[in-house]
Amino acid sequence: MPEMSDTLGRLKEILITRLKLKIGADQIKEDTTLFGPDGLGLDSIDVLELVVGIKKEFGVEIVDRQTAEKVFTSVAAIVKYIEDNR
Amino acid sequence: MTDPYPLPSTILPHSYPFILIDKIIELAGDKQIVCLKNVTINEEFFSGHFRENPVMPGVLIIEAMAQASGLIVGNEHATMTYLSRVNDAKFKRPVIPGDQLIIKSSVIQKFPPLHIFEAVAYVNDEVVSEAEITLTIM
Repeated sequence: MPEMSDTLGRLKEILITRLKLKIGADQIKEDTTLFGPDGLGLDSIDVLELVVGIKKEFGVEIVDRQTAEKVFTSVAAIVKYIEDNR
Repeated sequence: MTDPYPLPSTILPHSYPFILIDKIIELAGDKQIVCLKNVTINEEFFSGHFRENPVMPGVLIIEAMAQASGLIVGNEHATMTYLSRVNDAKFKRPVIPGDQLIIKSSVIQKFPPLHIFEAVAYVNDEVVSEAEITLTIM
């Protein structure tokens, strides 16, 4: 689905540029998790930064912590949330 | 005439000599604030920054922005506030003794305890500094 991969590409761009991750886009997969040493290793401040980035780039709001906890499980889950709420 | 807004010192956990906001000029609910700081030659930091060429340190402008931002939330309930992140800070021209610093800050995202603010500081309607400030507000 081209739309899906486009969202994924833009999300990777946000992750790398806004959060200044020192990795290449090809190292971020759909099943990559956001937290912990096996994932992107984000912290709570990064999450808030990501919320702002997603709002600016896609116009999709994540309004509360409960939603954030559901959405920020993996890269694929974020892409799905953006697609479903755009 | 009574000022419609409370003194910053009654809201902020800060005290002398570290209150960098003199007064609140405008407060739009829990969203936006405009504050004033009169920068005088008597500020202690001017004796060393710099002796021959007094300039307000950029980090103190950031601190003033953080305090203005903290006042938005602090006006609603008592808080303890910590600076958590500063993004995209710019200092466009020096702030010197005699300048009246006007600081505007707006909440752009909140996820308690984290709050992100967009802050801009002006002197004579000219932008002197801007930054995105993240505070942890307990």
